[in-house]
Amino acid sequence: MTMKEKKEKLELQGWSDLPTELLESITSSLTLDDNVRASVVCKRWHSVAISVRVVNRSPWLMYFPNCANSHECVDPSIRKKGNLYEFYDPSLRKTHFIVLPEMNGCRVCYTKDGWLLLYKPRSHQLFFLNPFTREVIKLPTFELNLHVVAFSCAPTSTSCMLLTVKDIGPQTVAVSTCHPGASEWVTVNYQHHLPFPFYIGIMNKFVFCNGLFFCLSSNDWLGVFDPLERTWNVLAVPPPKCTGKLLKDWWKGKYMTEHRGKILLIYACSRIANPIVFKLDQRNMVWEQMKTLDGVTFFASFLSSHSRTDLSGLMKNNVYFPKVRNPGKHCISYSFDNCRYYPSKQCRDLGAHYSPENLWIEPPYDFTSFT
Amino acid sequence: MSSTLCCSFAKNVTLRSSDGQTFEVEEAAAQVSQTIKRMIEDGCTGSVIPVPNLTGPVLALVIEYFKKHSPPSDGCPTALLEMEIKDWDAKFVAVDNDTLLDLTLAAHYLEIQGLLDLTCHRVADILNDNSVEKIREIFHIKNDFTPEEEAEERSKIQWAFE
Repeated sequence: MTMKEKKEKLELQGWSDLPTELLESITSSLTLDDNVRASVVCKRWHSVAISVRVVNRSPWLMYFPNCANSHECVDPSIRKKGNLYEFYDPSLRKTHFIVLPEMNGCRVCYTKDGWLLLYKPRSHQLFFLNPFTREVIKLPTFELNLHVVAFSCAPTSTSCMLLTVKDIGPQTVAVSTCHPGASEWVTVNYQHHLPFPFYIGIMNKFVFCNGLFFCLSSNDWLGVFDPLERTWNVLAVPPPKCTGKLLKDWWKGKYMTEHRGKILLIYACSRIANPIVFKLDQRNMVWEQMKTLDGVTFFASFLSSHSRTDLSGLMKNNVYFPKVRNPGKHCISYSFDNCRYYPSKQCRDLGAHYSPENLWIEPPYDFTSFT
Repeated sequence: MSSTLCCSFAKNVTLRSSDGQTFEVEEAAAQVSQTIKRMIEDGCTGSVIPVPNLTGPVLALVIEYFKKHSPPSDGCPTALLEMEIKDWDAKFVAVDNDTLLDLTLAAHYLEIQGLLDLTCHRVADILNDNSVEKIREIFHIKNDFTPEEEAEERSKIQWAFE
């Protein structure tokens, strides 16, 4: 082959002309870090690497104006109106600002799949808001007890269901359910014959997992509501022990979430002990303490918490708390690998420093439009 | 005696590369390629099978792979044999980047899944070990991002470069 021919061949069939399916096959075998680096090689690789990239994006921390740090706010007049919300992305350490007048006079009750569930105490109005698309989905009015309410999945899904639980006697709860498009809420009373009280209070947590609503009582017993069978049970699983003296705002340091179908509790409410993660063992009816997080990252917030795998290496085996520290824009986190809080070594009393309304929310897919 | 008998009964096929070189290979070995297997099943065995996308040297390499990976005539492959093949495979793809590209494209065209996995894995290893600049250099890829675009992409995903 002459040099000219060889050159032509190279131009015709160089690495840059690798068939897309081959490039896909190669990039899909890469780890996330390598996929990301490959995506910067050239534009074609970029589109292919992105198309096969499996990455769980970190949720964003939504801050509320009354406690947000105003350093970065460009327009104070907007801030004054109290409708400017900050969304902090911990993986990029970047903050996005969104003005949400829809939230005027509302309390946030819950979040899932990028949607907020909002309640107007004055008018008893409940509605869903997607803060990124600004879509609103109205619900029948309901007088909420303590604003403790949850939903199973995005309200755009036909299987979306809302649930709230209320104490109406020592061993009786009223479970109210609703779904988008319904004309009213349905309430049914349930008895549970247990030797312990099941307190419903502001500290309650809800998690929807494997088709069931799990409801953690104020004293850490677990109630389970099956929306299909319409049954209510309180599990005979003794609450996990929280060692040491409790923090002043200890109730802000308890979080419940699910990971791969398992219910998890995060306790960060002790003055001396490091955060502990418990996994619900439903076979033996106990809370089992997790020794390692196996690469999982938790995003803990009072109203709803999330778990993620496949985040960047630095974020693995960490619990992220709903508080950003300025200056430096670091989210407060606890590393299970290094047994310490970041950025500060002594940052235990974090509950005192954040609003319980700060929450982790699923970010929009295309976030380039938010700056 | 029996082995001679076996070989004399083994059917051969002839493959012709883009530059006209011909290679004789056992039919069973050539069927490691799904493309060739289909051609044989369609009755192309009588004449020469053209392989127009591969040059002689590349086809010669691929035939080496065929021979190593042809199903053994005496039944199941042993664990020892499998290990030996694995070592052989690793050496087989430890080639310069132009040859690696040729082999990758050949495996793709001839539908040789094992060889394709092998070459793609080797490419992934190279991507794994090198910086973005080095990857461009190794694979002769022109950076078509503007400096601003590249800086923006990198800033979005800074953690992967740390």
